[in-house]
Amino acid sequence: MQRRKFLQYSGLAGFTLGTIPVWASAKNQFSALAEENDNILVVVQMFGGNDGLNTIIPADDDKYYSKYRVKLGIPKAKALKLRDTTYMNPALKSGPKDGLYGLYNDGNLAVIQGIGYPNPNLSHFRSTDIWLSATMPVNDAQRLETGWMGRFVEKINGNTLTDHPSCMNIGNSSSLLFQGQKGDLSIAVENPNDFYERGKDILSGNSTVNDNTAYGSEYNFLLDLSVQSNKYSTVVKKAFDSGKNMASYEADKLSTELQLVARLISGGLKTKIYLVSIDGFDTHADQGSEAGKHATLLKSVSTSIATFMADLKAQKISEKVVGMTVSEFGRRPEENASSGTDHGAASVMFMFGDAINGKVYGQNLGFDKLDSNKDFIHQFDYRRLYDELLMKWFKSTDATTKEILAGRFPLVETGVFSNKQVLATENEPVVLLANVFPNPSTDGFVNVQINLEQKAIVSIQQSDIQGRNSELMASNLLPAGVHTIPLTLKGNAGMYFLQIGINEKMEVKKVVKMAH
Amino acid sequence: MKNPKPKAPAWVDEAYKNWYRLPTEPERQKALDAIYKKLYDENYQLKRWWIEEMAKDNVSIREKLTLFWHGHFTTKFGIDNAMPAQLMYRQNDLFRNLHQGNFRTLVESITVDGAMLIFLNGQDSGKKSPNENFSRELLELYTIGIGNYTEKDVQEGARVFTGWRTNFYSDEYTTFGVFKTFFLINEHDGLAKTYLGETIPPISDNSEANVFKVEIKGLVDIILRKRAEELSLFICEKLFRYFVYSNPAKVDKDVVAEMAKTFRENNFEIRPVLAKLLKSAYFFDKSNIGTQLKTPSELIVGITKHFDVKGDWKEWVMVTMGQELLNPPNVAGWVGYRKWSDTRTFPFAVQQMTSFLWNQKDEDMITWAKQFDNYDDPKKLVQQICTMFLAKIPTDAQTDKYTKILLGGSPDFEWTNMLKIASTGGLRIKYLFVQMVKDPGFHLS
Repeated sequence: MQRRKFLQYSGLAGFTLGTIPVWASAKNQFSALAEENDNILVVVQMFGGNDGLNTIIPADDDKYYSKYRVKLGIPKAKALKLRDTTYMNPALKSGPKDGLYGLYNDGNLAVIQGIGYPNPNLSHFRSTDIWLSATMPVNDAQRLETGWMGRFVEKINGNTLTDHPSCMNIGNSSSLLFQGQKGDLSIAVENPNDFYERGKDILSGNSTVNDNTAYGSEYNFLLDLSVQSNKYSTVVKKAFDSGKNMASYEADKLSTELQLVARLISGGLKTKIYLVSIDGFDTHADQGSEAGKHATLLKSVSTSIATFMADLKAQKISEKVVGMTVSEFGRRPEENASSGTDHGAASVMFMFGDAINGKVYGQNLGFDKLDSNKDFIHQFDYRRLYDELLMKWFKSTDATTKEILAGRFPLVETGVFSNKQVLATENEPVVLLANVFPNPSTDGFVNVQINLEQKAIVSIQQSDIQGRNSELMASNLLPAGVHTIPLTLKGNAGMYFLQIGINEKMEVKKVVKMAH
Repeated sequence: MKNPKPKAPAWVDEAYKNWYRLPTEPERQKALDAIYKKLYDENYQLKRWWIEEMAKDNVSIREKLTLFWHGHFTTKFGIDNAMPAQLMYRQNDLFRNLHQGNFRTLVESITVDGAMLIFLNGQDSGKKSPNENFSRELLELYTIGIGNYTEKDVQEGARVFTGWRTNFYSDEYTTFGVFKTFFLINEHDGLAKTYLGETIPPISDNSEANVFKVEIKGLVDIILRKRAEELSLFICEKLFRYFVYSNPAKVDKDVVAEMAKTFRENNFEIRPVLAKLLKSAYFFDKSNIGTQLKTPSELIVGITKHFDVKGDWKEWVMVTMGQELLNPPNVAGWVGYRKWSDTRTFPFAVQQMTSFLWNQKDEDMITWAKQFDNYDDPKKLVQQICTMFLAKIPTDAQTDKYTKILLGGSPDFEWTNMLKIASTGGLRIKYLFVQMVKDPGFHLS
């Protein structure tokens, strides 16, 4: 039976609309979240397929220079060393406080190597859709119609209406990232003043067309846009006017977009997810080495993100923001005849923010094991980061995350969120039986005892009360049974936390190292 | 009705002055700066030229289809490399000439089209490590769609396309002529290739004509033979979405299958497919009317057919709304459908339409209104204006609503008097438009 709605769109408030994006501010009646918070995610889309190999560089590997990147290789002398054999493109030192390199040194940048997914798709558009939908299509004919953030926000919001837009697309048209079952859950904003001027007079006084036709569907879609524009232009303008920037941004597109995001956050907008983007990474020709096309793009990424973080820090609002970069794929390891690189597979990505445990994750992109197409094979499925984000940052429940991602995914090593963040998670289910002894420890030696019901990937990481981490045991596959793992605590006497990861679960134990 | 082919811009054969043989770096830089300025100016002029041609084409679907092929076999001038407007014009002319022609000819021609060689890097692809850019998009976006080929096909195709060049500097490759595509055998991989399971034989005769025949035409022929089903469905679905309803979830598979069958049975001629669709009862069915969100070009061309505008307003609005002619966002062209409209572009379109109409001269509004039959009957005038600009014939309630707005509370019989005073009658027509451009129906067709 068709329930007819006679909804008069007027200039007055008080209407309810199922399709308008909102973030439930009241108690969520759907229990899709373990708890509410005002955490924010900024997604930086790098369209075109970023060359991971020239972003994070295995400069000690001779084959990088002699075989794969003869013309395009970044000279080792110019590359910035991150750890052992892992180096960073020098363009990523651009921006305030040494750019992304500075963020890394401050422990606020996670560099995740070997990110990708099984059976990589080398189409820009298909692979972008795979990243934004977090869906592995069973074949190429399967249409990807909803985004992982769209599904999540739709799940959280239900039919509740609140006053602030949940998702915002800065300067671009609608993105698959924000598509829910019922439509787009984001609004697009470029300039809040223009938005306000245009939105205030836009209501037509027309009613929805309820004749169940395609015409009606498109008509109502446009009518919805006018209602959303009218409502949210006021909210966004208010945040824009009361917000501020406390850093000086460059004038490029990405900087301008991040500057607006910072100002809206500063002004108290309750938007949860922002999407910003930079185009041009499809460097088939004349990619350049430490200078040139690719370097210019990385410079823009580094400068804009570093300025953004400096801005948020100066305003003391950086704690509630994390960012992630996404790009549809990396480039082919071997350069082509046009001094460029063709579409490839696994790549590197960044996550940044105070809550991030800044370090290098995964092994360097290696030339020894390439796929049949001579592309890099992924080490980490990108959905492992989405899973961690949903669980730790947005406090999703196990059931919700399972639904949004069609399953759960283990952490990347011990997780990219820092310990501080993990400790804040009151609702993290305690699932394992880990014992640490002796505790306190007088000589710095402790034993971690774990009882595994079945074989599992186990990792142990130590962090101090500032959230600085050091790895005590990298991810290891252990058989079922009781294991006693002897460890040496690092650092001076004091209180530490041990993060014990078992598959995607995590338990944190407090441990004290005595002075002697 | 006659629809004469547009006259080409004056500069279409002007070559660019050589810069790289100048003796000093500052001279070279200066010359290069001048070249880039010229490139920009001429591409800009070409955009404006095309919008005007679109507005003139009231009698055929030639410009509408030229735009369709431009959005399909995309090439954009806004790239890092120099993209001469002369080459963009030649490509545009190719689409215009073949807008209802043979698809095989279109694909063969675009493969060695100068602007395409620059855009998808054929220009700098060589024998060693061929560039895969064009080879991939040819299969994924231009002919058969994703899932119908392998990565190996992309790599083998890239080898076929090696060695083709174009030039636009006055004395570069003087033997080949400027703005012409030519072939460099030394940059070509002439060994055998395996493509979609068939073998393209090694070349024995190195002439440009022979390589084009054996390899380019041979490769296109393989696509059309081996993937006839996939190709015909892929192209016909796109035409369906362009002409009937652009919602990808609401494509009528039966209609598309019929179109595809016609396409295959007519040796991939485009005209019979369109004739079938555009003359069908389906196309005129009530349920398929008023379903298309107007593209920025339709919005702009639609309104500027009636009212005058100076300066670069048309180009600016289209760019802001995401449809810059000759410069689509990326190789996939314009996504279309609801990508055209969001909380940024829709309020912008309404605002721009409002101010555009508001800035017309009052007397011009009166002159315009007097073109309609029974213009002195306010209800009949409103009915005709609404029919012209809204997606559907107005209901009685709509006509009443807009008539009230036109009259501003005055009784019907006052309208003839209002028309006598430009500042009154013209103003009332503007009020009508200002309300009408907020109506979602104004943005559908």
